[in-house]
Amino acid sequence: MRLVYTRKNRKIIRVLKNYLYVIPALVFLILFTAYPIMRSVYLSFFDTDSVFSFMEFVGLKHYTEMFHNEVFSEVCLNTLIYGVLQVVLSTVLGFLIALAANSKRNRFKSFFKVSLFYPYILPWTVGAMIWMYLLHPTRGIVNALLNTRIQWLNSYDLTLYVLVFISVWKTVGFNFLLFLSGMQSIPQELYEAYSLESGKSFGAVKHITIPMLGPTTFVAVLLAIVGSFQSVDLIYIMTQGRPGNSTNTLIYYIYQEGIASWNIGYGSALSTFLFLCLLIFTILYIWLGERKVQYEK
Amino acid sequence: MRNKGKEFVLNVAILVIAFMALMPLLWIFVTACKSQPEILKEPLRIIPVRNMFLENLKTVWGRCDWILYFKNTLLLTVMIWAVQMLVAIPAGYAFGVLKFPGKDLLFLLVLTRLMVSPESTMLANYLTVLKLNAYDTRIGIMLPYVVSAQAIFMFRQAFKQLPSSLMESARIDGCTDFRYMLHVGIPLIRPYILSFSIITCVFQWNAFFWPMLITKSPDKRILPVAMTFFGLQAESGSEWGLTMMAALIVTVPLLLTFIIFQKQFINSFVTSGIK
Repeated sequence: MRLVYTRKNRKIIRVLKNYLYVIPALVFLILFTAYPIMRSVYLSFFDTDSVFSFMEFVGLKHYTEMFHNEVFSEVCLNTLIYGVLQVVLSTVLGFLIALAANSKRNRFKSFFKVSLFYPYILPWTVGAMIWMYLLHPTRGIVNALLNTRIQWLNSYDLTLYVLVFISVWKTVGFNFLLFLSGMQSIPQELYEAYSLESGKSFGAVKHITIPMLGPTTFVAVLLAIVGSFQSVDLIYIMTQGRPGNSTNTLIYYIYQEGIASWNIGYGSALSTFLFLCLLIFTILYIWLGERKVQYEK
Repeated sequence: MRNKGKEFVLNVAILVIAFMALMPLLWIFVTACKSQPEILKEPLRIIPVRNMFLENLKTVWGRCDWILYFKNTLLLTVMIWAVQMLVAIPAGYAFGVLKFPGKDLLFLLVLTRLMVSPESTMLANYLTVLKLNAYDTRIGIMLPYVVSAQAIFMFRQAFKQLPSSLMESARIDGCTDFRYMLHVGIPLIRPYILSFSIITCVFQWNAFFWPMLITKSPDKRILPVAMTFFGLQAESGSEWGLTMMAALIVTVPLLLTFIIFQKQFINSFVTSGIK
């Protein structure tokens, strides 16, 4: 069959050609993002085993199980505490440190940048190892310095917050740099105009810096939330969710149930729950963000 | 006078914060230089009585095949980087400047991926990798990372920023879209390509959880995985000097690269955040 190169055909061919650019990306996006989401939803209604030798439809069993499971509610609470604290602390501290670094009086600009940013490019595994040593109850230097015997990594009340602290140490440098570059792009005239008009030298942070950094904050928070899921490295190495389930978070719990114990149906129900949370959260965040950022413009 | 005082306080605060952030790194070095009895008896000593750096290095080097892990990590990082470029540059180009029906809908899929990270789809992806017989292979580690939504996003923005007159005049001269991308577009968006390359290489060099899940044979391990297994084992014998030496082996190449190219590193991560 010969293609007739009429004008219309040529145009169709050109448009079809445009799809070729995106097909490789789409294939892998479908296989490793869309398909796993749908597969998790599907598998969450079944009982099965690791090699799928049987498939038994069980309806909402895994979901009722999930919502009646005390571990699940504990894990959700932990995930929320860990996520919120980590995001808030690394954003607020990142902002404050950037404020200090941006000062004209700062004499150690590049040393300061490097020393705060290096943890961000360190592997989580290295971060986990060093802190396991520093926080060791009898041999670690933190207890030696404080002259205490605190079980930093084996305490029902404390360990989750210790993990938050470590991930703030690991990630705050990134937010710091984002805010610093945001601050440096604020035109100096704004500050001059402010001090002329108001006759005050203070208050500029509240009235100029913070409002001008609206979009930067939006991005920083979004990235911090996405990044907070990487905590799984830290938890796997440092606590494995222990003591009890006091440091277990949703992604680690999915790993424990779905992969380590092969409860595929239950693990898939948990994954589905996670996707729903992410979806609701994304929609809410973008909706709020668009309104707020526009309002500030 | 008052300004001098303020300056002093600010700089002291800056040095204190910097020192606190650097302390863990400093302690990796200090501990890697100490002998086992010293680590147990005098955890706070900064300068060891006898420098055990070389002895510790020899012991750690002798216990595992670190050269192999280096090769594995390097190979995997380069492979993932290369496929990500091959996939994301054309996609970013098409989403940025070409027109085709369903573009916005398809781009929504890219955006979904930004929120639904590979970690959150780990269970279903694990099953897929098993099914494809890719368990315990490099391909298995790579599969979920072939598409980087962040890369597509960055390159789309970059291509969009190019003046549209450039493309029109290239078309009039008879240049096809593909050749325009290759010979005009890619050279012009080079800074973005470099930025993303740095980010993705750092990320892959450090990746742990997924590569650990997907590999079981020790000779397939990458550095962070090998270092963790080594470290957890040494830790059970309280051999912190060796654990920290292993941490150094993983970290030093990366830290040196970071210190040499700190401007490029910092700029890359910042542009990734601003978009």
